[in-house]
Amino acid sequence: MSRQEAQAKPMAQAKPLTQAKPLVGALPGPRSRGAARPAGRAWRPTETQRDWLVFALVMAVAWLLPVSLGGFALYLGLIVAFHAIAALGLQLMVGVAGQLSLGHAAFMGIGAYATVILEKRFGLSFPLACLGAVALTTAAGLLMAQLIRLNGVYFKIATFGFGVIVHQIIANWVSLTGGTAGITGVPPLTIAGYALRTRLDLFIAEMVALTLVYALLLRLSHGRIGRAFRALGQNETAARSVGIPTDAYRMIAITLGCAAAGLAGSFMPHVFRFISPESFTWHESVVLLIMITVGGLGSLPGAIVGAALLVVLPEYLRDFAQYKMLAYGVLLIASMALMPRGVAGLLADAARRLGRRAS
Amino acid sequence: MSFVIQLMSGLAIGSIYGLVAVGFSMIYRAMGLVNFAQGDMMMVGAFLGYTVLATFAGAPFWLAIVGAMLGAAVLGLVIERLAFRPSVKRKADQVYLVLLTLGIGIVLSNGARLIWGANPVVYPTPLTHEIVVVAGYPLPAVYLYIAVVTPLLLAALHLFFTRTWLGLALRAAADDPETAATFGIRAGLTSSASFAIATAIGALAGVLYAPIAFVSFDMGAIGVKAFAAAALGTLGSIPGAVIGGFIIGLGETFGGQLIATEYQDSIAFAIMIAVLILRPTGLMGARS
Repeated sequence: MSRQEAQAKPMAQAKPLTQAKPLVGALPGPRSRGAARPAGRAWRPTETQRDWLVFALVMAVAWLLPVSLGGFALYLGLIVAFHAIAALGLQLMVGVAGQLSLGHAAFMGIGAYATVILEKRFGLSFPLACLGAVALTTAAGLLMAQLIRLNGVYFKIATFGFGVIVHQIIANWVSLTGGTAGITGVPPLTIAGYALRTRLDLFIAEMVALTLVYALLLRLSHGRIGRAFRALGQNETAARSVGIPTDAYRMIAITLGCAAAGLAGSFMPHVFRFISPESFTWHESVVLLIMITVGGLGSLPGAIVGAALLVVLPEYLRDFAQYKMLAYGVLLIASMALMPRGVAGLLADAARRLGRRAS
Repeated sequence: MSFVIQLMSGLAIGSIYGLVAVGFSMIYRAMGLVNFAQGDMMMVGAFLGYTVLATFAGAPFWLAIVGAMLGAAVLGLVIERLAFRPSVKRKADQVYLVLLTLGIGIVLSNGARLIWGANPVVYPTPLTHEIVVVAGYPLPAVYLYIAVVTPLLLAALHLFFTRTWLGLALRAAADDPETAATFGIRAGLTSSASFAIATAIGALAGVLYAPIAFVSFDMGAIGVKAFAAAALGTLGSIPGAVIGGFIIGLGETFGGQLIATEYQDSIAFAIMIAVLILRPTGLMGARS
């Protein structure tokens, strides 16, 4: 893959397709599993059914666990929820469609600042401010997506540059964003005249958004677009050769990922009641990438699990705060060496083994 | 007056970016790997130089350069052997490799923080505060080192890549690994050599940069501008990396002066994105 990305060697583009990785699930074909199941065997869920079962399971835990534990766990739940929304978007973009972004936190930043500024300056209620923020991040994502004409590696470095530029604008446009001091006194989240003042109210609002985003992306990933994304992620040249308009789908993947980050960002100031440019640095972009890697690249539930792990673990390792980033780095390297498909991959393997033993 | 000083500081910082970018480009060429840890390798080099100067009181500056380069080369070999070669060998995905280099960068910078502390340090050498007057312009003395060492190193690299067996082997393997392998050039050898040389050059950049700035565990962040330099000068091209370094160095110095110094990093990346939009594979890339 790496050599194909160097456009300086045009020969690499003409690599014989026999060497291409197989496009598993990329093309619509006969549904093999389930349909031709011999009668009398135990019921096996199809891939789609299995994904929705996992969806139900993950969402049940995500809704019930923080609420039943309450207190600090609920607060952590608030932080996990918006990170999970951003991680889902990033997973679709990076893990599924293979469009690596190194500046994802910047889009959360655009969403967060746009929401607060629309609420505080223009007195908009949250749904309108959130809509505006998502529209703005979508536009910014679309702008960044224009850079896909840069080849492979160059696009990655450009996304990094995009993140740096957005961060510096946020940190230095003092009259609009308050500069490095940030914005304090964020008003409570208000929907239709009802102010969500308690943690539980806010949690419910966030979880509704998370559930919707997860369901939407899951639905999407089972359809035509999802198949095209996976084909892109596995082998872009092969995807193009079977007639998938790769440029259009790359732009869709990038824009969707950025829009999800914007939505996540619009909840963030309400959770912390404060935002500053510090929350949207390059480090935060890396943390989001670690979330989806630890959870399992390409797995939507993995993104949520990864977000939960990377938010909750550091809280219980507070005494080692100075080792936090070191631990993140080691975790990233170890998770790729020991479990290349992340926590989701481990769980899937375990489930398959259980299933085999049962039948 | 101030224009010349600005020009000199732009050229000096441009040389530093260029040196880091050369290492970045070499690794990309040899392994097709985008090594986001290159800036942190530079940081480790700067700290190794600090250790040399702090341990041997009164040691000359060149000893810090040599010590840092050797130490970093060994570190580069270890990292290549333990982390990258296995992943490259099993043809891991690019996303995966980029994340791996990010992880190594995080471990390096935070490991350095544990070893050398969170507070920035200053090189214990007179060079740090020394000013020389060249043609009536007061300039930091280390600029002379940069002005001498950078061309020397580039000349040495040129000789290495055109006159020595190893240099030719590296180029051959970069162009066509399979054919090179039939001539007895092992992939392991080329990636080890490229990594060691690239980290040593990164360390050199770190030591040369240290007297102008502080040495701290997060100084690898300036290495990211070296990526911009390497990218705009076409990844894999060594002259391109150097030219890219100068463009970014001069561009951010003068651009910062014209617009606002707070936006220096943005200016560097804006230049890179603008160049890449015009030439999608960089200045040295083949015209498509």
